[in-house]
Amino acid sequence: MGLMEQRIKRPDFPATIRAETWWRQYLRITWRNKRVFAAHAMLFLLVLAAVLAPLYPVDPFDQRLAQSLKPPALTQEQNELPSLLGTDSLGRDLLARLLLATRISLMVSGLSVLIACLVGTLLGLISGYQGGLVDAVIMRIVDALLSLPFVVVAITIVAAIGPGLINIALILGLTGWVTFAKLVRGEVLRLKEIEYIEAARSIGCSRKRILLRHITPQVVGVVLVTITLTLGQMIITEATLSFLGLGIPPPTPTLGGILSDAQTFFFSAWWIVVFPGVFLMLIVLSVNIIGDFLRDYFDPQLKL
Amino acid sequence: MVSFLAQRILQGFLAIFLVLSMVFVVLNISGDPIRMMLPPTATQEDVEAMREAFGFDQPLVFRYFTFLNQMAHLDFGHSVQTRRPALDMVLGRLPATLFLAFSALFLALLIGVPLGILAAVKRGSILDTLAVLLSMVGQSTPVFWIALVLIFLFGVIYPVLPPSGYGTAAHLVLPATSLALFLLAGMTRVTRTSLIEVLNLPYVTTARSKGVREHVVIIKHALRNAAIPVITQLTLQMRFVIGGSVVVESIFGWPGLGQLLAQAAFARDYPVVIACTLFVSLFIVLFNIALDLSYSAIDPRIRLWD
Repeated sequence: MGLMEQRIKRPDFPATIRAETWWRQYLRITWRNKRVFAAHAMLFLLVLAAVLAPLYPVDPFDQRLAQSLKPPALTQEQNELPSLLGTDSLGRDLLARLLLATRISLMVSGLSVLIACLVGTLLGLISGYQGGLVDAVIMRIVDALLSLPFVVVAITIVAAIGPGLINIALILGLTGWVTFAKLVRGEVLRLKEIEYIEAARSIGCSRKRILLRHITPQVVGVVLVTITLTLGQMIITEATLSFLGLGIPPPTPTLGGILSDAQTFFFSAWWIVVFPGVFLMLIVLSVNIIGDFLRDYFDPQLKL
Repeated sequence: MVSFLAQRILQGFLAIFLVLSMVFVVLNISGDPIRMMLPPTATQEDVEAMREAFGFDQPLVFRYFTFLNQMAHLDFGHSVQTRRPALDMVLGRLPATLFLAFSALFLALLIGVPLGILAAVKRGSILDTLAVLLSMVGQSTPVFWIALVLIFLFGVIYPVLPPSGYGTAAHLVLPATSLALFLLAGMTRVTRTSLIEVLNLPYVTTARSKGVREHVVIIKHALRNAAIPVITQLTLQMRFVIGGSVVVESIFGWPGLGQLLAQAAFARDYPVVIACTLFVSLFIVLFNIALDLSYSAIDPRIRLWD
């Protein structure tokens, strides 16, 4: 019983100092920043609306020509639910169409971000870690795709393989991977120079093990940030393609497609112009705010 | 400098070559366009004859080299729709697009940079909050919706500007503004962040403690160093301006490259689509080289060659 034992004995930390789990820390930081919290809440509501869209009791495809171009109303008519956001030129309920359109927009952009993320992260890891010829080839392809606007690449491919839901998701995914590849590669190049990788190498870890166990977990931050920032871009690009008639063909409602129809009814129906755009803006705005927040959260020095 | 330029131009050509190769691959894996070009009543013999006439019966590698050879001679073939040479159609549309894109760029710089500076200098003020809000909303709003709302406001409710067409200065206002709002948001944001960073550097403190007046500190000392990220932003944004011009031109009936590309893609007019793609990528490559050169002009410490 001496000094030694006393020193070894662990002090009892009060409960509050104990390490926070990552999601508690995330909640705490998010709660503190009003703007970021609002963005999370908004995105949650929109995703919830998209998931629950089929439960909305009005059929988005039901044409009632007698009800054509009715302004938003709260009052009930002829045993029917009120058209809260008005109706379009074919008398279809705008809110029901917007809910379904939001669902489709999120599905397509989510799928394309998933494709872009998988392809881009893989190629970025290989490019950064392998270096040499492989790196040169991948980076030249990235440069080539970056010498064209996203929309132009997409339009060129649509011209070849035709529009449609799956096609659009594929096209957006297979053109959007460049951002992931470029940023992941940069991160791998930075990590390669850090001492712990050198230590792993000197104790005899294989190249595969170093890449999978020591580098890949470290790029998760960059990938998450890129996912959110790319998601916004994908949503806008999908809407743009559908607006131009090169995206998802009617009668499937899309935010871009509804706005495209709205052009004809400028003079009579402001609601078809305003509401789809507001939906689109709210989705992208909340995704972008979360993306900015994640960037600061993972690395305040990181500049994308 | 010459070798730097040569290297950048070589890289640019490589990028364009790869773009064309990718276009070729995509067009060829998606089946040949012969069926699209013929009426549905065409017989099998007609299809075979057409296929032979256009060289689609040749092996893929052979066709690839033929394609590259044509591209090298700027021979894009004739438009499927109008039967006019695709190159002529694209070149005829180019000035209108450049005019629109640079007007939008100019407008965005003219408003975005001063707004960013004011926001950075008066950090935390109402003006700053508004500038940050504007840049966030501006970057999250699709260009085509801004265009629709502007038409609605200034073409329908207060009909002061022509909602579509080309020719007079009044026709330029709405398309350029729609494109500029997105750009302006990015410019404001980058100028603000970059200037805030520079204003915290020790040399600015030195200048202030020497008694240099605040506006001189900002304009003469800080701004030059803050300009580099703004130019980098311009390189990134030019892609979005051209991308945005596709949809803006379609909405406003602006007879530019973007409108042509959208129409050609809709009609699956391959020769025109390829020609448009090539010129867009050529323009962006050249624009980026020009901006790279401006780095050293603004900050002599940056030397891209030697």
